[in-house]
Amino acid sequence: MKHPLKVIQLYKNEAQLINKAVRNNREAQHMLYELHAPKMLSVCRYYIKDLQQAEDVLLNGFFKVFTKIKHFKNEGSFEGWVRRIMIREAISYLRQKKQIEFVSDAIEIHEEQTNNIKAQIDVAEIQQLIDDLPEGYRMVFVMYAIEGYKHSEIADLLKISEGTSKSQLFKARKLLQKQLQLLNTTSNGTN
Amino acid sequence: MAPIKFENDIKEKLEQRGLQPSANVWKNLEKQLDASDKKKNNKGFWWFGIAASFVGILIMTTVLFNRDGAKDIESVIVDIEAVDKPGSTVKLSDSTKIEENVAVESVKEHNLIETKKNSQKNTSELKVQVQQKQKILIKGTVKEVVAQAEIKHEKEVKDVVKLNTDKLSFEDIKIQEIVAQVQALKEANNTVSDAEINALLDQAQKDITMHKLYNEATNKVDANALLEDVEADLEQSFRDKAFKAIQSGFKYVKTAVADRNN
Repeated sequence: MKHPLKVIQLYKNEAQLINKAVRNNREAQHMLYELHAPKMLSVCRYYIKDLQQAEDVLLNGFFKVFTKIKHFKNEGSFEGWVRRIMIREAISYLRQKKQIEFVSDAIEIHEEQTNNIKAQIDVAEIQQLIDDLPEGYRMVFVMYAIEGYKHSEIADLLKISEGTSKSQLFKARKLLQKQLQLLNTTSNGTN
Repeated sequence: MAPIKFENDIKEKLEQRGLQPSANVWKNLEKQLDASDKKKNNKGFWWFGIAASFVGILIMTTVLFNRDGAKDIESVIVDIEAVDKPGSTVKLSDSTKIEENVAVESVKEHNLIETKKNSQKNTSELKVQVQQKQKILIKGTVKEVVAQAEIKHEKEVKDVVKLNTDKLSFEDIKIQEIVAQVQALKEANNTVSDAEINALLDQAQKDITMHKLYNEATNKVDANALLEDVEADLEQSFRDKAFKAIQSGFKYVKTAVADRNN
């Protein structure tokens, strides 16, 4: 567990850095970048398969962060604000590349009591599973399951209907469970 | 749709992950930020330029408008002066060029002082006192100027009278000569005919015109007088010609009417 004093110190430091970054202090901007870039690249990587492209999105996202930093109000966490910018940037990047396809097969959505599959796999494998999902499935799944957005918010951000968002999530889950079961069986050596 | 347990595991594991971006990312970001700063500075420069030009235009317009206003006031004052000082204007209307110049000077002085007065309208009582003093000064200057003008006018009048007396004296001499000649003729012949008197008068008139045309003292011919003389001759000749033509035409018509029955 983190020491509370250390957390307060970090918060104070970040607030100071933000104030300096607002005044266009390049060093403070660099420090903020160093502090948040690894996490934000990971977020970008959820949505974008290619690391190089994810870095491009990261760059554009941070450019927006530093040019709009004066609009940041200390109401929420700075990390959360930066994260929202990164997600929006990733979505717009994919939209520009026209890589988003929402397969709208008429699937009857019903609550499926999924078994307690425990992900006995490492992060690289999880990322691989997510990468293997079709673009539309992946975006909705990441936004809902990992970022914690509601369907209404996803629909608004991706400019789709809530129904589409729900169906995409359902399909993504089904596909992932299937893949996960496959991975578990192969790793356990049982067929 | 409730979150599924494996999704929570995935989330936990992914949240703990950190991917270190390559060094180029920051370098490129720094470049982009520098470029945007330059753009911002340029924007500021342009805004400063626009603001400066706007202020310049504002100053120019205010200066120009003020100038126009001053001109208007001046013209109004001139009118008031003309009304306030009818005596001076009457004198000026009769006066020569010199007097006009004097009058213009006096008006200018008035204008200057009046503009000063107008500029001090909204000031305190002290300034009003100053204005009164100025008015006294103005009156003093006006009196001086008018006095000077009057002196000059008197001089001018004297000069004109002198000139007139000179001219009259030559004509008087001529008249006296004619009277003497008529008296001599009377004494010699007892009677003097109208033709003789007319001849003497014509001769005297010619002498006077010659005197006007040719100044013996300076050996100079007055061009204007010569021109007037010639024009008078021309007019006279034209009048005579026209009269003769009418006379002959009338005779022709008269004979034609008289001989119509023959």
